[in-house]
Amino acid sequence: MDELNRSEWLAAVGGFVLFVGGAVAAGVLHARDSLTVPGGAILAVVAIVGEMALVGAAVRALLRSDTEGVERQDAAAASMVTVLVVVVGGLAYSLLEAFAGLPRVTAAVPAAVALATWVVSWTWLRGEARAE
Amino acid sequence: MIGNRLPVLRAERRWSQAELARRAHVSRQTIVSLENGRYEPTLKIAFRLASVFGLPVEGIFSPDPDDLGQVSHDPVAEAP
Repeated sequence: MDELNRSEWLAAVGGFVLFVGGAVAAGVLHARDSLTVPGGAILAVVAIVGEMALVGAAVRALLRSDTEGVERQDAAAASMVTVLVVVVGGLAYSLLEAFAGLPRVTAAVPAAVALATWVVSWTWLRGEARAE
Repeated sequence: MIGNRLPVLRAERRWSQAELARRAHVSRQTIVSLENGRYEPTLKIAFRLASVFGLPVEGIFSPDPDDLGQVSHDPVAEAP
């Protein structure tokens, strides 16, 4: 990924602050039983806007960079592993949830699992490349 | 696996992997992976390396015989 330019840095940092701020504020208010529905909606939108700004800045920098090389192959492999894990895991858990009484989970769980799976796969593949 | 002469060509010029990576505008891991057969280059990288060494692509890379074995040169069979 190329270096982020000034506006992208601003978008990334600002987006991160909005995302964390919105999510933490909503969490704290929810824990205190003082989160109203309109307030929750506003804080959710703040967090979503921040998330979009952060991801958008990263994607713009990534698309500007030269994505040739073994990194592309490793990113594709990590993406395939992620899709496999999330689809198989998601379907398996949905059956256990429906028929075995496992607790319902928020949509944030598969998102976090997908992110973690991709990062672990990518790191492992990169480590393999360095070890050779 | 597509073979390549990168280690030989690099040694002839006394270039390190990092130096070749810099000249071809790729990461050092890409050169390492190319040399040990973990990665087959895209056409873009193959042409970059050909330009760096001043050789045709075929002067650096050699095709996988098993892969070429799947190619058919027979004329299309006429339907009966």
